[in-house]
Amino acid sequence: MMRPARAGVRLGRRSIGALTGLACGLLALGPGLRPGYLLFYDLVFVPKLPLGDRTLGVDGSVPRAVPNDFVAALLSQLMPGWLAQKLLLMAVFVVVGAGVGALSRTRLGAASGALVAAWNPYVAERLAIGHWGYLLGYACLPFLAAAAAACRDGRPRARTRLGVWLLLSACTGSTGAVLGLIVVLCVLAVPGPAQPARRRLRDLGWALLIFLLAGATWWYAYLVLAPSQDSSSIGVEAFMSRADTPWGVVGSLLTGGGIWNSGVWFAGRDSVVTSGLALLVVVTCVVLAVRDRVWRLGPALTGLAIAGLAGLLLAAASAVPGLRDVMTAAVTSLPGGGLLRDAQKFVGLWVVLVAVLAGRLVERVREIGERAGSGRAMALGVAAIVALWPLITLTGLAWGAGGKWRAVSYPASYISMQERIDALPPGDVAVFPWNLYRRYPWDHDLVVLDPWQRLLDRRVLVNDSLPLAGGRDVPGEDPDAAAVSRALAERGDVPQVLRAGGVRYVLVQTDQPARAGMPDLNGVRQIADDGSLRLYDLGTVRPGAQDARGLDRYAGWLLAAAAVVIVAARAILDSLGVSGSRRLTRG
Amino acid sequence: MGEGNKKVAFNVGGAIVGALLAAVAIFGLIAQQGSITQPQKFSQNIDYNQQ
Repeated sequence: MMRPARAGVRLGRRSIGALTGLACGLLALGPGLRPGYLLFYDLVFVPKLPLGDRTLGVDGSVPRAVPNDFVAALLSQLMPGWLAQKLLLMAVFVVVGAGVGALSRTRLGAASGALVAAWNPYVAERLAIGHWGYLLGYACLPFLAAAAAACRDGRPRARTRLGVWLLLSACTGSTGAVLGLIVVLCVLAVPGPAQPARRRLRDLGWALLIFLLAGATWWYAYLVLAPSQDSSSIGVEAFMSRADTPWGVVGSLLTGGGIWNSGVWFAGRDSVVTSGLALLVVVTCVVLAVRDRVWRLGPALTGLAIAGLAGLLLAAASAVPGLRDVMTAAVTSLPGGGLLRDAQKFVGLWVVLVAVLAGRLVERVREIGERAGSGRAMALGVAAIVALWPLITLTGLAWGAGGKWRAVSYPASYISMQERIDALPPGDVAVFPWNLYRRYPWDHDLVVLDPWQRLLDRRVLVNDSLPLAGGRDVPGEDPDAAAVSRALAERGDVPQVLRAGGVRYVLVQTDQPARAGMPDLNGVRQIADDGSLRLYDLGTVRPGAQDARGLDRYAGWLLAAAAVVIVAARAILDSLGVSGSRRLTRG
Repeated sequence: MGEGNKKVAFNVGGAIVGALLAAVAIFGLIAQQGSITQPQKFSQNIDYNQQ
């Protein structure tokens, strides 16, 4: 008699991690997953993001969302923008869960590690401020660590795998790519079992080559196309890590929090009990890791440990009196130093490490239970309860941050105005009142980046200074915007200044506070009035400097394309090599 | 400590940890409910951060 086939599928660690991440994403986004857009702070998606120079980061502005806006634009050509937004946000949870799960020893460790990686103050706060590109970069980190470790072990196709993950990491933007590079370099460079120096150098060279080529979309735009940026020391102070728990800046960072904006802090983080429990578990994980000497368990863990500590140090540096001056000097003086300004983002490196270590902690609890003779079910039950600590210490994230994140639709007047402007003769658009952020009644009055830069397929001039509480501004970089700000402050001829900057159309949002600055448009022809939107035509202007730029502005994208070609060629060579060796074996 | 004692210690410890975590979860949920604010009113200033 034949034995019946074993029913069911036994999931691997990666699948369990991915499913845990998926569950976290569903629980975290909750009502925000309904059709419609989540619009708050820097989280701005539109029905169809144009594939233009702004999206490519070659319009001369500072490329803050390059190339992740390009990814969003590509997706929004294939599906509604709101669906692309939900897919990208859910990908954060699923990918980081899968990555941490794969780094774990057991399926229990995978589930508990993935839970920490997908449900923590870092993810919550960065999501609340709309930094979805950072989060996708964060999600790539465990995969990058694993791919770099595979290179260290000399596994077949490891360099191709590393190249693919570096390409994906580059797609998430400058921050994600830099976080990824830190992890890769740490894993490749840490001391370990004997590995030929030449091979190690080749691995490092390969990683740096792909990083530099793939990242050219943003670094070329930063260094060559964007206006020279003198990062203000105001920004360093405004964006340094802050304590969102009673445990100080370092205590907050250790638990994955510490973002500078108290507007995105979560309920319960200010409680000694809740945040104290989180800190206690993190410290326990670290103590256990030191006791177990986890750095001996392979290059992935060793590299992650070094990268995590480096991330923690970078995140804390701007808040430590002695190191603050060093950070200020680095941000304001070094080329590309602006990447260090919002330093709390580096704590993502630490959070991935904590997630892997937390998985080990839960595994240890189960082992203790089994050794004590409690039975497998009881030991597993207690371990599972312990594994729930991330949910328990951050209940505020559940169900769309307690219902705060709600999907909304753009008013019909926005879509009709967008279509009307797209049909108009060439000319840039300036948006007023003169502030970068809005609060729309139809978006539940949440603070959100002005969406018109993304709604329109032409250059949109906005005030790019960051308005901070207390009346201070972090100065922007766009000289045309600075000229408008000066004209408004001096009560000058704003329409004339706009025309000089190539602006033909002025879009006024009448439901926004005018205190931020409104030009005198008396005598200017109004060509549309729809709901809270008024459109004015300043008359024909001579083409702006943007129209005179050459094709060399796409050089960064050509370099990135070269990275894709190189990785693809490597993949083809790998597969040819494998099939060739198979033929030899069979022959 | 004997095998039986170890088992009891683990089971009791697990129960205590479970009860404590449940209490913290309830505490967190109550704190969250208390933090839900009314919709923000119209303000003349819109800032990127809060202090």
